[in-house]
Amino acid sequence: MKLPVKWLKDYVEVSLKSDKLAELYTMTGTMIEGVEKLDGSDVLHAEITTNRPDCLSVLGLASELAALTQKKVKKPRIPRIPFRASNKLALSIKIQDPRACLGYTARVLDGVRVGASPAAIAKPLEWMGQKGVNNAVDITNFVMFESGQPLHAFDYDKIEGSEIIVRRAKRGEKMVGINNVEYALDERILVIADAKKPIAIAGVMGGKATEITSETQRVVLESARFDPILVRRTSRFLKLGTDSSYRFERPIEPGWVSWASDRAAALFIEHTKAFAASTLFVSGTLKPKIFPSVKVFQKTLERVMGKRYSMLDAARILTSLGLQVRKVSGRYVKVAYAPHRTDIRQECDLIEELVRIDGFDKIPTTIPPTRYASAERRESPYHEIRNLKRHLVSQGLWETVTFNMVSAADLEKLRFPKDKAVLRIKNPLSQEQEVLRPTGIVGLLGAIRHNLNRKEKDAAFFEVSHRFYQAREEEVLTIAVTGEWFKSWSGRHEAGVFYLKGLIENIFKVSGRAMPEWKNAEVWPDMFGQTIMMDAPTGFRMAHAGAISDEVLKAWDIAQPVYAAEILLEDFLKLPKIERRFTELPKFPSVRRDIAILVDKAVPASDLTRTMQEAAGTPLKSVELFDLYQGKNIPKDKRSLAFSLQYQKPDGTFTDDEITSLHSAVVEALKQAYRAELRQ
Amino acid sequence: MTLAEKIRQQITEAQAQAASASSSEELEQLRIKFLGRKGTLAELTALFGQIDPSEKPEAGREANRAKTEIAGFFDTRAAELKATGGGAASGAARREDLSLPGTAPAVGGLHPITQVVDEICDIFYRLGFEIVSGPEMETDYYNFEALNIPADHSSRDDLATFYLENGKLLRSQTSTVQTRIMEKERPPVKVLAPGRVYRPDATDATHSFMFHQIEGLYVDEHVSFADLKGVLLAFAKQFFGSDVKLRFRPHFFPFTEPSAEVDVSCGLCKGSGCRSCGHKGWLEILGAGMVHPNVLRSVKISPEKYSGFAFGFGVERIAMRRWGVNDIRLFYENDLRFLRQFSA
Repeated sequence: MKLPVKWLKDYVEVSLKSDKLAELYTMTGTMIEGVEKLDGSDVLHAEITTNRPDCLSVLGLASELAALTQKKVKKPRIPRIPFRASNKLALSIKIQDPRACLGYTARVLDGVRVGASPAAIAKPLEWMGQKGVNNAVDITNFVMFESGQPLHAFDYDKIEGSEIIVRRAKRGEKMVGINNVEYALDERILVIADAKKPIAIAGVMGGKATEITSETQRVVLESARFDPILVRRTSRFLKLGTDSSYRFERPIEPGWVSWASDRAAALFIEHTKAFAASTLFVSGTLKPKIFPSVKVFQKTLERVMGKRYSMLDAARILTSLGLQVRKVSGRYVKVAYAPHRTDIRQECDLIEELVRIDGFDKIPTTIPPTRYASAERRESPYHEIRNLKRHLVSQGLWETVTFNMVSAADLEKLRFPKDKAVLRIKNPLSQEQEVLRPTGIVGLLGAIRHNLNRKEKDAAFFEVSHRFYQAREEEVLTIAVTGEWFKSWSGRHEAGVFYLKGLIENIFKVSGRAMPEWKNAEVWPDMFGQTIMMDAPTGFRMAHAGAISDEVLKAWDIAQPVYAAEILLEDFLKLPKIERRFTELPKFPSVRRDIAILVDKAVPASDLTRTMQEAAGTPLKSVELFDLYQGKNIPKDKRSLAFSLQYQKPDGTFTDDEITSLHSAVVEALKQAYRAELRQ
Repeated sequence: MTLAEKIRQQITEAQAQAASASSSEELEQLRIKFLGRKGTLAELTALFGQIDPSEKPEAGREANRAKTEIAGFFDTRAAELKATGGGAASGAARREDLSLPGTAPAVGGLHPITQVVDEICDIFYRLGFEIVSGPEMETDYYNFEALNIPADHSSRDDLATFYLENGKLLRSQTSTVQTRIMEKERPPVKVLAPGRVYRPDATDATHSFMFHQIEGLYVDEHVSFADLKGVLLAFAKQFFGSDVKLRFRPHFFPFTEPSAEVDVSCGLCKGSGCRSCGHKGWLEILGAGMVHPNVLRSVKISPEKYSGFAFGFGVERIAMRRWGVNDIRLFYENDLRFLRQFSA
């Protein structure tokens, strides 16, 4: 709301300069965002919060200033409006929807000479940033900014049947507004109509058919009360907002309705040579609904604000705000409902008034103790996730923050399974906000591509965020790696699926949780090449990892392999922690024997390990793969694996024979089961 | 050459070879070569039985001398090597260029937003606030009604929201978590809820449709505005510096009454105004207030017995201010050249 200082000072006598006014308003709840210097007046740009619709006018802000400076508001004096019955022009008013229109007033003015506005009207409008139209329209706008009550002027002669009907529009009706745009109307919209057609969208905009032109001689001046919710809805679906609709969406004190009409009429008489051609027609009610009085208690103030307030001071402050104090005692102040302050309905509203005027700086500063509801402190996932993030950072990964929404096109490029439901956004501002992402991987792919385009070929990213998969919101840890994960002058290591697998295994180690088994599984086969996954104890898939498919990489213009994984954190955090229990250190040395075998590629390494373990039993404490070779000198369908086996007896050392027999059992088992050949 | 002469020759050779030995391994080899069971000296003394009896005395003397002297050469050289910091792998050929970069795998980095969130959480955690979170996909009830924002109310204008086709919406503020926590727990409730929020605002250098907020809430008997001031001041001093000042300006939020916007004094000009703070001297950092009785009633907490305060920060704003980041969009591009600037 723009507030021209010169205009403001017409209604309240203060000598404060603009900057001091700005500070005073700002520190009591009306934030002045800036001061504009215009010809003739400084203009304060005030941010009016939704609870103070009474401040959407110069008189409203003047009352506020008067309260702050203990002055009185000088409302403009309205001269009596003479009316001669012989001048009377007919006009009938019917309100067909009294819930949508609580009260409607109209008056007819004759002899109007439409022309340029006088400086007294034009200048204030200029300060408000309004372009002048003509004296008639300008007067209605002037009074709206002055009082907060929007008005409308119709050309009387264009009102067919000299009838005004306040009704719901009929489906199929249309109206061209004064902005030259045609609007399709229906029964959701309240209109001001004449005998034949809608002539205004109530509270929002007048129609072109009845607008004031240079030919207009007779004017109908409307000042009314409309249901704020209806006006707001209408403004939304017609996508039409005006200074008028902005005010009608909020409560306006009904007392302004007739005041604004009288004020405007007097200005018409003064500046357009008009004379009254009717008295004020009033339909419906101009009486505000009165709500119960409100009490503010000293005890509440002390408890909630932490300061002791004197009830006499409180009464004084509330009175200066134009509120009527019904009773003051040592314990409380009782205030009558104020129609101009519809926001004051319960005790906390009075507390706010008191405190903002008295000042927040008068309230002391204390540090509260912490009282706990129970001795058991709940475990917040925040701390564990935080540690997890730091662990990943020390493993060399970079944390990203990517958008939770993506375009449908990106999802298509990801080859995300089409049969999985995806949540769409109804009101996206751009394509990039069309759907909620069902996996965090799409964000990391975007980050990788962004960096690849800037010649950063090595990237290891992770993100903790929410995904929206199958219409469910889940917190996930997403990891994506590409390029070299280790590069220095002494060596390089290319990221691959085993690096990714190792990263995930380390996550379990570091968080001390029991890691479920990896399984080979097809997870989103179009998006991934080969994948491995882990189930949560509930049986649902908790984590999966794999190489992004070539098709997807191509669609994303990523010219190198990317490996990605996603882990559901809720399931992860529910996994039991490994219970640690000390076991005696072995008293006798272990024996290490190595085995190198040549075996079919199709045999999974885990099967080999399992067979070796079963063949040797408990004495075999560990089996570690330390070399893998395939290629030159080896048949194409085979590979060579070298294992280091550690044998341990708890109660003694092994004899050579014992070891030999254990070890040959292992070798035999491998030969039997997989036709493995021993390599020397 | 007589045996004695041969032995003398060995002594000379041993001396020369010991002197040029450059490592203790080499010396060990030489020791074995000269003095070992199958060494050169042993070979020569084995020939005693074959020489002329007249040569024996001299040969014998030389043999004894040889043992001690050759051993002496090796000991001396070993000591020399040790003194020059040698020993195993020492010597001019083995010195490293220690100016080369270290080769342990490099560390990555936390996103700057996480760094700010964690720092803020640490401070409030120490003040007794537990860190909690809530869903981003919300219902109209939690995003508006429970926060004292009725349907078709103009205060919904300030909180433009993304609506989903399934009838839900994306939360436009973290205040939604207040209600969720209070529904599950009776006072005392003292929580901090960081998280992502969404507003359909046009994106530019200072606005993003997705950003981060941190919400704080403390509800108990006798919680007052004075406590709110105290907690926020304690936070500000730890986060911005101990000479910081706070300014509380009356404002309006539907879910708090009274409400305030809180400004922090500009770190550079200490409140007098400079280019960095737009000559205002103050920077708005958060909104706060006493929890509205309607909000307490909606979760069946009696405002006559309990009171509470709530506050909310915008994280990106604070992060941009702290590090001088001039475009909010940089936080979501995840350009490594940007992320690296925030890693140790």
